[in-house]
Amino acid sequence: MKQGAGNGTDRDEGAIPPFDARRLHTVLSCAVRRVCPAWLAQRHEDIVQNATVRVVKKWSSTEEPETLGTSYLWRVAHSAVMDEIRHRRRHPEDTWDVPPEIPTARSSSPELRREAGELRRAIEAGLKRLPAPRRRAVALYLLGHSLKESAEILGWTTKRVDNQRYQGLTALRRHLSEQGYEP
Amino acid sequence: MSESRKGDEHLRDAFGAPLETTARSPECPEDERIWSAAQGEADAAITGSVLDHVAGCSACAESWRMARAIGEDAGIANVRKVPLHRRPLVWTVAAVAAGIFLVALLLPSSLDRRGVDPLDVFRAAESVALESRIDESVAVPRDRAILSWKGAPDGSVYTVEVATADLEILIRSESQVETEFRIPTEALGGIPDHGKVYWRVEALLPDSSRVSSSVFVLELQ
Repeated sequence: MKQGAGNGTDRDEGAIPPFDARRLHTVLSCAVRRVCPAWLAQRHEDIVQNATVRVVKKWSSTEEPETLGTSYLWRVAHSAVMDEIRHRRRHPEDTWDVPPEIPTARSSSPELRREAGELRRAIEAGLKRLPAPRRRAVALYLLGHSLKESAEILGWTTKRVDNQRYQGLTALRRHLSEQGYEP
Repeated sequence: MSESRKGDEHLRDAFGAPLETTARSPECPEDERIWSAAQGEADAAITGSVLDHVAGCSACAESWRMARAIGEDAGIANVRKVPLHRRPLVWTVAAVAAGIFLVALLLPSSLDRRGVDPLDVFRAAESVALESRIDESVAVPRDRAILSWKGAPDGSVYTVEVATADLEILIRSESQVETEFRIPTEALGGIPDHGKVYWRVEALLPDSSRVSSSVFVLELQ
């Protein structure tokens, strides 16, 4: 098989130095290893392969592939792992290793899960009613971000985040109370 | 306002628990976009729209939380933009290899497995599995950072690679015949105490096939 290099250079595959391809595999393996929850460990190599395909596609469509750095690989690894998690949830019957668990669920009781689901929907409804800045500040709070992190993500001052978050949470708690929850 | 109110824990838990019925919808942003927003890499407009969506979508909230956890764990915000290439030509050539790899993934039977095949890098022999002999729960002194593995038949030749947590390759040793490798202390100079390095082994088997291990972790004291 002979392929053009895409920039006028003509090289065949025999001239390909393996180092960089190996290096890509290594860094993607490292990234996936760090991203991958323990219950998906047996799928590690498949996820690496999927991530590799994504990088390859990106390479093919990027004019300056040298600008793709490790940050990009982290992003790809995260994306590949999320796809696998969702696949496992959608198709638990495909699981041949450890049964999938919901990593962040605190309860295995169906009743408690149902209640948590209802509260989650009530929170979503409450957030939807908030003005965008408050909604975003509160969402980041509920996602576990500190004031400083939120400020960096939103490009605001911490004071503004604090203010929007405070007012947003107050309104959210009020909404939940009206819905019969005791926040 | 304080950073966190006690009573908010259950709000966070409820907001954080993915619903069993969770499924992505066509409106869901791509995970890569969620990643960029969660790492503070996206512009304000994108971040805002992603957050507005995440606020009402447990599937994407889960993706965001995972991105956050990874970023926090790896210090992504401070990850240097280390290019994956050594020089542009290598990237060009690597892109060709990558293209071949992609085609080969889609049409595996089209490959001539007897020739020099870059796919060998990624292909694992079915009957050989390289395993670490290192207890990952035990931190080792940096002057005794010895990697050890098993699983390949006698006569195999190994390549060992060691990388930092931010994916920078620290050292690569080729043509190893022993199933042990001592990481030179100087290669670990930039790793803080209790820092971790990631390593993997590739074996060239006597039948000329190649096997790659998973990535293993070694914690330094």
